[in-house]
Amino acid sequence: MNSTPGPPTDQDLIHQASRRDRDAFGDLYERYLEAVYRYCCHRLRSAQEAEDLTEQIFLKVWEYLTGSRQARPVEHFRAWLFRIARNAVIDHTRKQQPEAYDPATLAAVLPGAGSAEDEAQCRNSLQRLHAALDQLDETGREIITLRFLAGLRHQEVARILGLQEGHVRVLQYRALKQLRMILEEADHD
Amino acid sequence: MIEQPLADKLEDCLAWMQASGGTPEQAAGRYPEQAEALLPLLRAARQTAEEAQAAPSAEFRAAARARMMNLIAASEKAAQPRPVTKSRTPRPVKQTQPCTRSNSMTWIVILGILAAALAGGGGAAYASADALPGDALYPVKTGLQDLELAFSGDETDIELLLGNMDGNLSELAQLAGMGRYEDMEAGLEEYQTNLMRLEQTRTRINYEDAGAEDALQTRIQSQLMTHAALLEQLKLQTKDQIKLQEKLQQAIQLTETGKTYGPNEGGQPEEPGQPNGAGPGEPQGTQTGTGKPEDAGPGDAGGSGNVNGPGGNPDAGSGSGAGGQGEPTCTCMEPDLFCVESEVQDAEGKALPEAVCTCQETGELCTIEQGQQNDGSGGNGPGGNP
Repeated sequence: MNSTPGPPTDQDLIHQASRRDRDAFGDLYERYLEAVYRYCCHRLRSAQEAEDLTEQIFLKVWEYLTGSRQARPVEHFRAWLFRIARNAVIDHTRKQQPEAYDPATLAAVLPGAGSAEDEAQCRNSLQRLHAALDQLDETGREIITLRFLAGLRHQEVARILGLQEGHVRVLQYRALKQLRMILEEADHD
Repeated sequence: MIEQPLADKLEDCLAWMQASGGTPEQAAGRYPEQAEALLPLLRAARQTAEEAQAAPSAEFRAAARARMMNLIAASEKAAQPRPVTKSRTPRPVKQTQPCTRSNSMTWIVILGILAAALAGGGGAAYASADALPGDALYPVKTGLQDLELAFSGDETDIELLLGNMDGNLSELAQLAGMGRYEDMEAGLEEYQTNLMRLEQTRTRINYEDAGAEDALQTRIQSQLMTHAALLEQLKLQTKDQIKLQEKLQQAIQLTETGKTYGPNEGGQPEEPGQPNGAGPGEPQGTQTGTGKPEDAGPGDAGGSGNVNGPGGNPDAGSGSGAGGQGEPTCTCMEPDLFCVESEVQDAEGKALPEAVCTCQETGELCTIEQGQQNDGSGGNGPGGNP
């Protein structure tokens, strides 16, 4: 009985990409494009900047994978990728004045935004969420963004932030608790 | 920690929801005794994830792959190696001309890089802004900096070079965070080349009056003092890298020499070597400078030492450093930001004994303002090293 091979694993694609296989890298790019974009989008609060930065992040990944300095294989690709993304966001925000926050542009890239009414609702939800995230401390905001907006596991978040997993769980608990309180207060106002 | 058991259960429920697609109610039901505490948090998590599922625009997605392939092609085209002189054997200094700017070879290199950058549709030049020593696009970045220097006067050169040196230190901090120690050596050479050019330029300027000279020299000294402090931090951070330690010490000494030079302190700096032929005990130079032109500008030392650190350990407290008489005081370059102590990890992710002082918001290395003894090493950047 012939078993159809499953899709290539990340490690397969990384291995091929490190041999300058652009197709494999293209697959890897498409696999993670959306998650990285979403992370950038919520950190930068700009759909356009997020698109540009996402490309730059993957270009760095390519340079690393194909560069001569790659000393060790990439073991935890997602965590590694988001470490690069996080650095890129920090660098970007340090160098450039942020664009004026425009939830309308951002809401347009949410899948729920179909009709004008839906888009208005998305815009309000997003604005409310971002306002709540802004009230968290930097680490709490980062954990919520990586965990729930980018969809990473808490072990990966711990790797990205250089913290112990247990510590991340506690910080996540605190951040969620605070976020819930802020969102509730916003609902009452 | 009292919160730990509940935090662990919360994570267990979240992971279960993520894996099974179950509802918050079902997840909380796994821990009936804590369900009341867990359920609202699980709902908040679900709501957050559902409300923020941003996706790139259809136009972006449709052409994303092709555009990425073009970017890769452009970056590789632009990154044809520029001639970098890396003499292993120290050569005696023979300073026949102060600067290589009029050197025809430099112009050929500059024009080549410019042509390559333009051939990439300008994308390569843009992409190179974040390149680090050892990256394929780094030669484009340094080439563009050379170009900028070639078209500016001496006084502007000072500002550009100071900006480039800030950029060099920022790059070094990022490389240290990634554990890219070999690339740090190349980065240090770029820094020292810029330092030498700075020394050459500052002695060449014809000042309008003594006041202008004093002001500029004071500014240079102040910036070099910051650079020396940042180099000390990098030295602490990479203390297990013996070869690098020597090079860092050399850079510190050269920077210290530069910072004591000035109209009020007398004494000429040591004769800097030619960029391509450093004398014994002097740094090996490379043809071109480095740094971040966009960071250049009067008083802009903010680019120095950015490490993109892990954002600070919330348990490590906050405030602007240790303070106290004789104690080193950590201060963020940017106003209204606090320094925090963060754990430092080596390239393998093991915690190092010393903490690092970084700005809470930006992760940038803080400046040690008082006291010569640094209480922290360079930052731990969660950079590109897996």
